[in-house]
Amino acid sequence: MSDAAGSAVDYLPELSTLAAVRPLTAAESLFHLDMPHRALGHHPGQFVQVSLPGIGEAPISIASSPTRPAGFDLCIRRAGNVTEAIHRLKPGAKIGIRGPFGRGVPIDDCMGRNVVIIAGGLGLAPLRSLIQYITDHRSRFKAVTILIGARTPETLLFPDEYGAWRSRDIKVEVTVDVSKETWLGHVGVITNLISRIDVDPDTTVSIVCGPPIMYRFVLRKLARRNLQNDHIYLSLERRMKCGMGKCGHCQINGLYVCLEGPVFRYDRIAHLPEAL
Amino acid sequence: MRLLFLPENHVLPLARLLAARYRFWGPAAKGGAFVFEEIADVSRLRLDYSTTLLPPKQAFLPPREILARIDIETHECRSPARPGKPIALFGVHPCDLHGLAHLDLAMGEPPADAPYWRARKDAFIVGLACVQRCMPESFCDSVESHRAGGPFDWMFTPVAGGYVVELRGEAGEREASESGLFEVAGESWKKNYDETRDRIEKTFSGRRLNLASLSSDLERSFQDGWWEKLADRCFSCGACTAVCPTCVCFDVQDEIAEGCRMAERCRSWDSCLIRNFAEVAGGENFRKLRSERLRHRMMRQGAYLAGRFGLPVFCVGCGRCPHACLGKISPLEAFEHSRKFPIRRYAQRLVEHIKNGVTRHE
Ligand SMILES: Cc1cc2nc3c(=O)[nH]c(=O)nc-3n(C[C@H](O)[C@H](O)[C@H](O)COP(=O)(O)OP(=O)(O)OC[C@H]3O[C@@H](n4cnc5c(N)ncnc54)[C@H](O)[C@@H]3O)c2cc1C
Ligand code: SF4
Ligand code: SF4
Ligand code: FES
Repeated sequence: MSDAAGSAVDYLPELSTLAAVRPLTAAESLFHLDMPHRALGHHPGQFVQVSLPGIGEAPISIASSPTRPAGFDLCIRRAGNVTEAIHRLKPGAKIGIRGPFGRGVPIDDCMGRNVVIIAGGLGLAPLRSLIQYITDHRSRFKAVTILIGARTPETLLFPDEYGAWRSRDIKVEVTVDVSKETWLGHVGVITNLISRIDVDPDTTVSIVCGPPIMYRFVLRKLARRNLQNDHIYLSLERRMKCGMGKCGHCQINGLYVCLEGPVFRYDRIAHLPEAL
Repeated sequence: MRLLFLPENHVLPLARLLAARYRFWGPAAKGGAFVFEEIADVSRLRLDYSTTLLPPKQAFLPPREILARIDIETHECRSPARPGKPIALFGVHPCDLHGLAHLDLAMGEPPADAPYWRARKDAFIVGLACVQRCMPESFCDSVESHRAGGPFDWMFTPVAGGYVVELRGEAGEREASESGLFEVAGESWKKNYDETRDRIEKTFSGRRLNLASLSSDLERSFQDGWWEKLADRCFSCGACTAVCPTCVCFDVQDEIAEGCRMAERCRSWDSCLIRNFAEVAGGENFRKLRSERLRHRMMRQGAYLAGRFGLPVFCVGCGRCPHACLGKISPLEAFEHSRKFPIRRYAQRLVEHIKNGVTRHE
């Protein structure tokens, strides 16, 4: 008991400063934050609780790599109270941060292997952290492929960065669900892209993040490419309040997404009926 | 184990001593029922209480509390200090002692919950053995929480003329010797004590669940259509989780206070039975159906949290939730049903085989 009391954690936000805002799409912007007193010290795939005093808190993935010094990025979609209010902020504003929380992508398991990153919609936000990490340590990874799906060309996230990623010997494939005539790329669901790439089941790991509906289709396709469940990582979203395994909101059966996730190795959750 | 004797007429003087050093909580009568609350006048203490509407959990996890105050101008923030003295809980029944032990596990798993432990730290806990069943809905004996257990400093067992008190730990010894109100337990008290304990075992020898297989039974029954039938009686009101000594789920809301100068981060009890509990932005609801939510609660109580903390079961059988529930839904019903589930499935399959003209055992 005294141990628990001694190392207990409070729900106090730490102060960060909004350094820059970059609009990305009609609904999403990229916010660059600085913490005055410390580095965030996160792993790719982890998240923070972001808050404005009197308005509320929301869990947001960290969209930049810990290898980039000075601050961190959050890619935030307008979805309600807190996220709308953050979109109204100007550089110089103060934002509360708790975290980082959760388990991110196990980088060690990706090193020395082929990496296939599959991002649907806003799922590219947390994966950008991993992508930046890979571009900063490119030689530690074998072939790297990024498959990106979005509803329309206008809702694609970070299109201006794909060139830089490609220049680091990374294959980037993009598809959209619907497009106008001006779009020259792929049209169709993201699973189509999986058929088009090389997958060596022994030496490949795949990391997937997207809307809930995407996972089942992507997993079926990856299974058809003979990728084993223990070579697949999924980043899952659930409602979250505490980030500390207490409030119960994020539970998938007996697991807490905020502690044991949000990134899970697929074989560890495949048997859970509430996971996908 | 050290036993002392406390004469009946020393109970109030003892309560008064504790009330001077601690914020004193105990069972008291209120509006035709019993409540566990902070009591200033210790003569209101009712050690003859049956059970309380709410468990003593609220002493450490209040229905609503402020987690942080944030200055809106400067963003300076702090957590509120504990209000003065530590808490003494007097007269906690065994089920609720076990309930406190389970709360400690849930709130103590790293990262431990600081607001809870600020209230919980240095609390002095006095247990009180039950010699009779408090209400028909309770099933403490089924989950084996009718015996003393959990984090008590003193455990009172009623005997003729007073209580035999088991002391535990440094605080228990210290408070007992400083009070000067206890007597050495003589041979006759000890005999009386053993008899009372035997009587307790006989009184609480009702149903017993197969605790060893409870969590696997429940997990196996996950896909059973029976959960939907059970949920026909559920109104998603959340009364069950509010009265539960082991439910910890909460909501956090930030609010403006003090004429817009300060913001307060408040937490309040929440319930996994409420419709939007697992809903996220974009409208996805991960437990949309009432049956999914009811099943989730029973799984938490019988499998998930038990497994997480290496216990056979997380529910302590206090009976409060079936008592409070409009549909009289009891975890015992779910636990017992889960045991039958594989047998029922087997019988079903047998019927199917016979129908198909095959009589083969699997
Ligand atoms: C691990 C994780 C990582 C995330 N990463 C990102 C990200 O990088 N970028 C991004 O834009 N969004 C992300 N989200 C989603 C984001 O948390 C929600 O959009 C946000 O909480 C909505 O808050 P709000 O106050 O703006 O909306 P509200 O006004 O509170 O509610 C709007 C809707 O959001 C739902 N909601 C409320 N609270 C939560 C909550 N705590 N968690 C999830 N849904 C909630 C409500 O059910 C409602 O339907 C992430 C969520 C999780 C769990
Ligand atoms: S008290 Fe009964 S009706 Fe209310 S949510 Fe719980 S199980 Fe359902
Ligand atoms: S689940 Fe019901 S019976 Fe079990 S401890 Fe909670 S309130 Fe008591
Ligand atoms: S967010 Fe509260 S338990 Fe995970």
